[in-house]
Amino acid sequence: MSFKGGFFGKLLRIDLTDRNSSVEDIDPGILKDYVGGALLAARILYDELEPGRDPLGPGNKLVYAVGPLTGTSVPCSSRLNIGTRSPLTGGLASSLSGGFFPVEMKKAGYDVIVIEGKADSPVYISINNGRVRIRSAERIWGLDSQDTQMYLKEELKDQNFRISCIGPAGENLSCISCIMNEARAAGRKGVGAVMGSKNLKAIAVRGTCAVPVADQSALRAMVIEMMHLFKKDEATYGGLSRYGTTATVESTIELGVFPENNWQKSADTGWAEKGGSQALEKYNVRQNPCYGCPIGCSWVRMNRKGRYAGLSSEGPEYETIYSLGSSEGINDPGFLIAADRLCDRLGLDTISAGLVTSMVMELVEKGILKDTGGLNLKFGNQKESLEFLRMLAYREGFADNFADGTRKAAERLGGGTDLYAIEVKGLELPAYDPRGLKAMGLNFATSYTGADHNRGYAIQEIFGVSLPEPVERLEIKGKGRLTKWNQDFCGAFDVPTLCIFPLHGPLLERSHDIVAKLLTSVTGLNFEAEDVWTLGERLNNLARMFNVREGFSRSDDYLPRRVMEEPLKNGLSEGEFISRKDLDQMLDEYYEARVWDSQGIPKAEKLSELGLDFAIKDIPGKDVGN
Amino acid sequence: MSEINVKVRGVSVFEQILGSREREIYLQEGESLPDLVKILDYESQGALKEALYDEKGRIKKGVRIFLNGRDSRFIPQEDLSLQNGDLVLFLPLLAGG
Repeated sequence: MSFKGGFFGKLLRIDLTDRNSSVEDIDPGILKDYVGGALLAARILYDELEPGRDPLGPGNKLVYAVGPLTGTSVPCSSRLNIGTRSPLTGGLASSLSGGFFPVEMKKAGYDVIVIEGKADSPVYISINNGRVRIRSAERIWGLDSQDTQMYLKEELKDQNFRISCIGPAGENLSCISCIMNEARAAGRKGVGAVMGSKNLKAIAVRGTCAVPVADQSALRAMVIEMMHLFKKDEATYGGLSRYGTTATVESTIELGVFPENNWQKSADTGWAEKGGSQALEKYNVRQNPCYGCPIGCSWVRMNRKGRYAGLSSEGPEYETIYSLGSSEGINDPGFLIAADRLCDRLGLDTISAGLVTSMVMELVEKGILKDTGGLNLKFGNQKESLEFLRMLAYREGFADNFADGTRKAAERLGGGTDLYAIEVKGLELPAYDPRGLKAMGLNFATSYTGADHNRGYAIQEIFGVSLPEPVERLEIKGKGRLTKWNQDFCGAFDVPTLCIFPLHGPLLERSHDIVAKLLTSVTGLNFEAEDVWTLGERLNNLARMFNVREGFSRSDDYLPRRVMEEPLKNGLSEGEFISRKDLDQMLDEYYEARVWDSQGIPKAEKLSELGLDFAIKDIPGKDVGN
Repeated sequence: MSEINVKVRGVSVFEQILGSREREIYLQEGESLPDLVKILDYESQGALKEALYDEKGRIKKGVRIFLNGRDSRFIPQEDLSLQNGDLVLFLPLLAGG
């Protein structure tokens, strides 16, 4: 089996302990079955990581993986998956980012970069096509993520380098730190801390290779068809392009599922008028699309007056409006731009950082946390919130206890403070309250990365899409099967690393067919729509087995106590919650749909069906000899 | 027959059609959600139905009407009659997040 395009078939391995690098050929059979992105990274990590290793130790690895479509003319394909064992969850991390870095990495000639070991002093890696260097980062250790990129381009004397780097939060091993490229974040699961633990400040990459394509004319026809579908779709240009992801704020606020004040209530429509998409539109400067994206959901916004005058940010996105905004009781767009900018520069994940801050605010409000070093962290306090974000990145004072996320903070504080930690598997929840969106809740409970909206987004509940069928958001029955469908749907596109937005929008009804045709025309290998579905299911099963090998089971598929114990107090979902019985009913149905046992462990027959026989030995209780 | 008062809310295109994010509409007791849609469509000179339905008369992708938070597609016909104080929400397809 050999490919004719899309892949270079090359893995660049960099050992920071020995400071050397090598290029390996990737088995073409592996490329056909694992393709790229999240799935190829998961397979490499499954093969190469010993279970139980410290995520912040030299035994962990960072796997950068793009897909075969990256660097071709396929719109929305400049995506990169960073895989590792997460220090935040202890399970498999998949953190995706767009921008220009993914294409640059591909054009340097690599499908995958594996970084292992630990440098004995701060370093960065420069990759200029085939030239790989490990260089001292002593002088830039401590710089924020944006200045790091500026400085390295100057040092390398080439403004065309694209840079993936950490800020101070990653250097200080905060488990809620991210990896930045331009102003894009591989935001979640603490991947920045893994990079920091290796004394690695940045990867600078420059590539000039053309990505080969097996059948240019077939690809051209598919791209034209995609563009036609984009133009026909009202929500793509009328919503996503015009407002960016903020277009969803009004919708979830109306449904009463946009949390406020650390999930004590739902933001109301008055909030939307002050902090929603139309309020933010007034701050727009320009769109900043990823490479090859005709939609451009990412907006640069700036403060032109007031206390934050002159500060701009690429954002804030929908999630950040909630995490740094409503969850902290703040609805000032000017503050949101400033706080988003600060998190990006410090290298903090905005969702987790916001939820940690709002947890502290509630602990202060309830009189549980008394010593905040004089910082008056009350809901709505902007200046103090910004200061606390800075303290988190540097682990200063009492913020040290919170710099590794809400779950670890609650473990350190004890005394029932887990009620105020809004997390699953350690990962803080995004802006969709499961009390009014049951399938989204089950996705948060079961996603292999923790409470992760992008691993199984419930488009039926949030956008009213009737695929695979119309769904009542408040119903419990049927959500197990639906969540499997949603997770396999989303997973299928994390593999060829395509942006999920067009696939959830204009391409929705034909998504798998289109992606199969794109993969076939680019690689020359034959992909059918069913194969694309299988990629998603294979990913979710392999990732689950990775976590099972780390000791995960049904008890890790939980929801935050607040979601299960406190009914929503206001809005259109008032009175709703997910009881233990509800969750168990959904889990049972979900495991059955997945062909997993009652403890959430994949059965051998399912692993075998998906070509994952090598993982069967890791099923708890399986005889190693079998 | 007495009058009832129903709150109607609309997001995005439906906000434009209604003329504001929220309005109060007076109906006759016994009138239903489909009756409300007819009234608002007449008032908007056909704009409401144009936003709700495609050229084949099917509800457009992602467009939903909620009655007191419940998706009207799942409410039995006989339960669609409106009561005083009901809240009707028109939600279009939005994307992203």
